[in-house]
Amino acid sequence: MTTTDATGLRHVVFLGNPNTGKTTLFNRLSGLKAKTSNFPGTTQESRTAHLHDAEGPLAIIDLPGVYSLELDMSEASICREVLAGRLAPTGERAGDPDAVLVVVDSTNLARNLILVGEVLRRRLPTIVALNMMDLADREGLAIDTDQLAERLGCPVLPIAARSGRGTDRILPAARRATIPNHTPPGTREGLEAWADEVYAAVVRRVGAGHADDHAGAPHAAHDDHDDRTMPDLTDRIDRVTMHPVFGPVLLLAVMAGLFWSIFSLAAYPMDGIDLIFGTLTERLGNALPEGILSDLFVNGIVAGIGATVIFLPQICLLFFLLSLLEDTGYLARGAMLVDRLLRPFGLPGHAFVPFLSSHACALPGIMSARAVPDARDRLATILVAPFMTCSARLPVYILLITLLFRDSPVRAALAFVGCYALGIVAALLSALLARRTILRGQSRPMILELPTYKIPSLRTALITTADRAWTFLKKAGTTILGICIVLWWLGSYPHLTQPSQTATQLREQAAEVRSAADVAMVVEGSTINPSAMPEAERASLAETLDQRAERADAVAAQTQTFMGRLGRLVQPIFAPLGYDWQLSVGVLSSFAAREVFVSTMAVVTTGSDDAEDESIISSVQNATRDDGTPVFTRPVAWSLLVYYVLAMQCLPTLAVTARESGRARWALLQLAWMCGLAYAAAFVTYQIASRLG
Amino acid sequence: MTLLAEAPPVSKQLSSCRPGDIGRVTQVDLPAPDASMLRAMGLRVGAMVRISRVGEPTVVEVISGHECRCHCRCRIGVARSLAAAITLTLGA
Repeated sequence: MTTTDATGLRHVVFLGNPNTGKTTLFNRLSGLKAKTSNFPGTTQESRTAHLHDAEGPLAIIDLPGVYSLELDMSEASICREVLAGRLAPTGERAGDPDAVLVVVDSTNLARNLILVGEVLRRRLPTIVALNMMDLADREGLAIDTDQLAERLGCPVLPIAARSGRGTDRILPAARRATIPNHTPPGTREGLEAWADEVYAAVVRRVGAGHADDHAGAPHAAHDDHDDRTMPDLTDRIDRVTMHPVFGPVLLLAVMAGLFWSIFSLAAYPMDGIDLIFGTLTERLGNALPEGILSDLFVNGIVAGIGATVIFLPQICLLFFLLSLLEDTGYLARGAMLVDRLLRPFGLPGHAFVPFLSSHACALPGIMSARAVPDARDRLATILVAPFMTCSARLPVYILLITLLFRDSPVRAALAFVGCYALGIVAALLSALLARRTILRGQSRPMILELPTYKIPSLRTALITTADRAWTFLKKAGTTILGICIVLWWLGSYPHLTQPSQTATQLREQAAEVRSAADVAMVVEGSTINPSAMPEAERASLAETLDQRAERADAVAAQTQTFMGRLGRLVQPIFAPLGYDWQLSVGVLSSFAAREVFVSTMAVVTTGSDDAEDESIISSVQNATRDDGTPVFTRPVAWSLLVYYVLAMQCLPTLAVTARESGRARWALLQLAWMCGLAYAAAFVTYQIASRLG
Repeated sequence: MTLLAEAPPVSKQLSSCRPGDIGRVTQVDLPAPDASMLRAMGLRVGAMVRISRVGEPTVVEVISGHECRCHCRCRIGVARSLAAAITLTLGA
């Protein structure tokens, strides 16, 4: 039974070794029509595009890259199941594919033919796309495609997916694909011998520097030297990129450039998004009648969407640059270099990209851990990735580090670096502990194909970025939005129905000052008589009193909300860390997203949430406790800084951890471990800092 | 006149080869998952390889399958611990 349905929709699956240009071909054929989805019950992604031309509808499905269908790996298992008609990406109907397109690398045909043989043995309609023919020509490899098609028993199409050469013939050929008339041997040894034989029969070496020479015959260049050969360009580049000293230095420089791009270039669109959502909030607030619905839309939904979308430029830039780096072949070298550093901690080099991504946001970081082949390695990577300093922590760092080192930019910069370093060290040590206890065992030694260096494809990077951005908005955005609405409700209700007593008194005083009443009143410990004050001084004082009244109302409103009550309830837990109820509310509310801490503190301590305002930041820093002592002492600021570096305060991250690890208990463990460690470290920091003064 | 005798084939662990050495894989003494992965990537008994880099990681270029001596462009990076379990015969 095939998957072709009543509408005539035909399903074509794309299969191939990694680094064969399969996804480049898929992107070229599908453009922006592709959607990413998971295979049911797995964390493996697949991209599907529904196309329509004169011959009818066609669904093309990009399967994960595999070296062999017989490997004991999740990617290979999924490919086997799809080819057997038992599995399809979410939203597609399972059934035998109408055609299998095997994409092979012409410059590495001998190995790729083994996968072709494994597919041919399944007796499914098959075609072979011989990709990178332009590179093969340049390498002086002549491939007899007619002979190859005859030996394989299926059509063979020479293409160059990057330039688009020959790709227009792919879909028409896929529609007419038939079951191949040849079945390769079944044993592994037989299949390898068959692949070697086919290769030797169809490939000839021609071109500059080579006599016209059959690939199957011994080549002079290999036979007349002392078993050592001259390095090619890739080797020469590798001598620098993988050098024991220069390699890591170069990697650091590349990563520094990447971060600089993410944090500096993304700032402009982020400011723009902030402005758009600020204007939208203001206009909606003015247009909608006051009430619960207006409050929900303005402070719940729009603020929630804004809180998600503002990180989109960073996410896009990160995936765009990572895609370019991956396409050049450099990222694989980076993973191999980092493997040496990570393995002593029980982590594989594959964790490099998830960790790197997590420095922008833990959500895409955890999602990219799917590339880690070993299940235990993958789980260890997911569990510790949120220790990396994500961009949401930065507003908190800025607030606290400014407080600690207001007059010393150098010390402030060192503190920033220290926060990043503390996160990385905590991740490595946590991974080490996990690998010696709950995930016992060593990480699997690294095996990775190192592709030849190439000029990256801008088109592929743009399509990948668009796809990842949409996936981020769909998956993370909906979760964050839901959580923001819940937290808005907890932080807004029950509403303060009447002004607080303090605010009423302050407003009465302001009115008396404005009207130059002849009464004695106590303001900030001093007794004054407004009638004896100059007019300008009265106006200024009245305004100050109004602002204090507004703050008193905001504090009262915050205090009586569910979140405020919870803050007072849990304050004794945070007391050993030096936090009063206001900081406890800030810590609790930032479980929605860490950066919420700054705006919450602004609301609690000043009555305004405009944390961009310099004077508001100063007010937060000068805020006092109920007993009049400062909220932010140096020991408290240090303690908070350490707490925010280490704590798991991002519910969307927990949701993604639960989904990617397959079990909620791993997310709960992550929450308990990170928060427990943060609490203990913040306690120690507070105690030491208090004693040192 | 002294005739130079052809150097006899030498067996060596991959980890102790030099960059630029060419040899044929004669033994892969690794657990099944790693051996299967390397085999699927083309690094199998009988394959001709050229060593690009030794150390951590070791990088080899697979330049042929069983019988043919082609010019495939496949570089594989392996951890040093894996390289120590792969034996090559140089000059074979």
